[in-house]
Amino acid sequence: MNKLWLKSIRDLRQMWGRALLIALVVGIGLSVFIGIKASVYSFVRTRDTLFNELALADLEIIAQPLALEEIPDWSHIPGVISWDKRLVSMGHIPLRSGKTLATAVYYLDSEPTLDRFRILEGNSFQKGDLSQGVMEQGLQRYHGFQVGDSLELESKGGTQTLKIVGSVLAPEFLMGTMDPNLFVPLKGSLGVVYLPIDHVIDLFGYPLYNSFLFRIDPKADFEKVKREILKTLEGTPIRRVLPKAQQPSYQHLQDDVRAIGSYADAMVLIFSLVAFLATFLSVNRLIQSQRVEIGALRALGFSTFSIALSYVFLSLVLALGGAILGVPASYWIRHLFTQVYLESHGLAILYGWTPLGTILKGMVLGWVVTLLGVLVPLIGLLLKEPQEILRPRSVRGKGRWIRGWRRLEQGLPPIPAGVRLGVRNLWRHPGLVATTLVSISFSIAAGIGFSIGNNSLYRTSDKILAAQKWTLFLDFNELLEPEGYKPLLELEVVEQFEPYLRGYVEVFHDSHSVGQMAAGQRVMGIPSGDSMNHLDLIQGRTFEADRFEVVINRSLADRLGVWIGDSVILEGSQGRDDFMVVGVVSNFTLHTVFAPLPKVQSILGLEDFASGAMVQADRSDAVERIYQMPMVGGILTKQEFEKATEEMRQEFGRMVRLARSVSVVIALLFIFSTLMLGAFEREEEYATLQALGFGRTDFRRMLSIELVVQAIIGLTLSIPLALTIGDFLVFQLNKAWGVNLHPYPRVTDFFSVFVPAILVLPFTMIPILIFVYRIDLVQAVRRRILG
Amino acid sequence: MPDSWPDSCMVQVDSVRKSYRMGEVDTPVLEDVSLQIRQGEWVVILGVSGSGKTTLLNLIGALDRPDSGKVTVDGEEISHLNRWERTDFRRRKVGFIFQFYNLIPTLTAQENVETVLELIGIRGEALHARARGYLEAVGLKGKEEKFPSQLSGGEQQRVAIARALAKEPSLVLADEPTGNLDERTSNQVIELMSELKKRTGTTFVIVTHNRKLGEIADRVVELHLGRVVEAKA
Repeated sequence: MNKLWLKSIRDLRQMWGRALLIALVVGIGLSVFIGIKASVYSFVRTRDTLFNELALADLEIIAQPLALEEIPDWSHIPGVISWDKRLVSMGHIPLRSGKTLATAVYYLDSEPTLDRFRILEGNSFQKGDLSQGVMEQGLQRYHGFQVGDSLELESKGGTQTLKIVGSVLAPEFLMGTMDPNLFVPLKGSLGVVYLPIDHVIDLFGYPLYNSFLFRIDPKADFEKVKREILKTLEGTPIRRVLPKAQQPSYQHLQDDVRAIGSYADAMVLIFSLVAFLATFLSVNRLIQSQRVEIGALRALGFSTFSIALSYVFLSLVLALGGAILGVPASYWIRHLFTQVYLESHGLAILYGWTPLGTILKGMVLGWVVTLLGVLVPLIGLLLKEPQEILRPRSVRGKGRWIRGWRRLEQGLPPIPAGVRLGVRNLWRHPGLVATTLVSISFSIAAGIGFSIGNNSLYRTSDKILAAQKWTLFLDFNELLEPEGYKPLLELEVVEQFEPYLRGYVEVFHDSHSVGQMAAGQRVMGIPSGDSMNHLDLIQGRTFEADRFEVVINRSLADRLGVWIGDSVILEGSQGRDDFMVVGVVSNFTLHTVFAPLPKVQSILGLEDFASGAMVQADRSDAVERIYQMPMVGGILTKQEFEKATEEMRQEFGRMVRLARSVSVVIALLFIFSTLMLGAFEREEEYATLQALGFGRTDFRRMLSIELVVQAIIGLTLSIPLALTIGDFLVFQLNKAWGVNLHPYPRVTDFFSVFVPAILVLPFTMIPILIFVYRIDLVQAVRRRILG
Repeated sequence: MPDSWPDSCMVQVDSVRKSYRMGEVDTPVLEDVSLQIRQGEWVVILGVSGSGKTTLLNLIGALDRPDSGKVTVDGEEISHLNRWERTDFRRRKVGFIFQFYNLIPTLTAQENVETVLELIGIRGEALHARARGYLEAVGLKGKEEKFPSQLSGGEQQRVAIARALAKEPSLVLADEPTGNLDERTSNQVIELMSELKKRTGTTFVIVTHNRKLGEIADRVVELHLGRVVEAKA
């Protein structure tokens, strides 16, 4: 091995403490980079694996129920690879709490070939056995039903008692079993059971099907195939055409993975920047400590190239050390982030995946940063003549800083020697100390920034919740005309009442640049823009009730490339109309287009009909009284809505706390590494001070003052930085999730990071003091002290 | 203080052995060394490299402990003191002068001197006055505010000498005080030390290669391979 390389390895062995510290800094940066990136890849892999394995259909058409002989054979349509059929109907399950749970009942011929399910526990049902059913795992997870239990299912066929023989995971409900028709996707808000089609035969004498699933050749023109299929159903009322991209579970997971990926990128950016600074500074100091040796090597005739190469090798070894520590730790970081995500989204299964490419990318990034930390000071040194490098560095250049400080000191009461030395040490390398302080404040600020982002989510959602004028959100069992829901209006518990109509439309935008784009979308007709349902506008205004105006959500606006002032076409089952976009609302509204109620009724061909109502009813018995009304299928109370929002926020908060903890750890590591490296560099000085009689108290005082001054400056600087990072993260949250958060920094956001940092800070001094107390005085006092 | 401790004795080294571990092997550095130094005596320890002179100085200065034997300084047996008891001992009784001066680079000449004075509890104007006085005594009047990097090697060593003397210790130990200086500067430092010898009654133990320093000593002790081979007045 080249002697210079050998020297590098031996140097590392000799300076193992310093090398370990640098490897630790590199390792933390690496673990955060790989861990967060791998979390996002794990979500993507989970999504793709489960959707592929469970064969989520490319297209679902929900029509009026058809008998077997009325169903066309779609196998002959070019582009259709396979298809399957089932009957879907809604029912209710009474819960132990006394409430009823809206439940989707899927009647199947046998085990499905598309939208399959995976048995998590128990078995599938036996064909022909009317006493058995299989539940989707949400019933188990959110409502405590177990395999072997019985449940009462109330449906159009009456009340049936079913024995649950299995619990399954289905691709349509990967993201927690949520009722897609609800205003807010509450986890567990929908029950799902799978039963044999024999139930339908038993009721009607023959099977009926209303949900048709298709696997479409990816090479085929999807729209053309869809049109061909629909053509075969001419004359059959179609309730919904649902391409895979708009399947709620798929869409939600797709949007969320994209959003979390985008937010994760912001986190990675912040952490990488912090780790970059920490690594750069630590390695930089290591090179500075080898200054004399580098000068000696140059004087001995080693070429600058060969010296540089040996240090490139050194950087590689340090980066590898970082990788050895960081790569295993990244699995832990991934685990923490994915666990938080799993729990917050009700995702039943996760396929953890750390791509080799990401590990390599992280390692290369770690090495590049280490290399930069090595090369920047090294090139500076190598450009000098050997005698210049060998000449002891003086503090002359920094004399004016220290002199300035001395003048200030003279105006103060006498300062103990230890304190004076501690403060002077900070002026020793002002540039380095300043950069370190900025880095400390940056990592502290990152932690606070995450808290500000979290708080902004809280405050904004509180504002939206407070603005909602309804206390109950009712879903009718079926579409009702005013006569049908009139009894509700007459209830004395109902103070205010506002009907709404929900349905599905195709939204088109005729853009000059992208051609005609369409998106299947939920539409909600409400009586006026100033409805009981407050719209959280990002920009623009609400619609006028008598105009063809709509308010759309952010993600749809982005998808269609429309904004306020543009016109869109809403096409329902019975008509289409031009509407002008007058406002954009945040994605809290979950892909819903809001339009005047009469206009929505018109394009859906449901004049005067309503699918539910918003109600203001504050009396404690209101829910009970309203549930007694036969037309009411489900009630979402504002408290439930608030609880669901709170759960969502708390789960997001866990991710934020995790990010905040990582930031605090990095900040502490920063302070620790700065002091520790400072102690390594000043070993001879500390030995001299001990030889002169400096005791433990003097050292504690000296190191404490360095620690405290750095902490105070770092924390102070972190305040403006935190506000900036908070703004950036809120901007990223808005961009990623299409929401409309405003930054709301609170004093507690700052203290939530300052307090743990300050509490842990004294402990960082322990290893430094141990090092100082163990210096070999005999050896160290005989070495030259370098300024 | 031991009962038999004579008033005139400052340092008593009794049958001291010290070895250092070099890899797998214990290398003896001092073998059965005994030495007595009187109060106010100037002793120069001469010897080639590796003869054990710095080790002996470190044992007397309580920077290190002997493997066996006893070291007593100013009536205090220091061989068995722990690290922090030895630190306390050095603070009270010993002044050090190092080959590379070992001045604290962030402190001015005066502050370097004041630092050790503060350690023994001197404060306020007395502190400044004493530091200034000692700097003047070593010929550095007007250079009190200079940082070490603004001083020549000889001047830095003078600051180190002032620092060692300022707290008026019982014993001053100097390890190659001229080892890092050119001949002219070295002669100036020797001249200064010679003057100081006349003016102060402090005991000095100087380890050096420089035979010229021997000329100002009351006694020269020569070490060879860890043993005292010659001690002459």
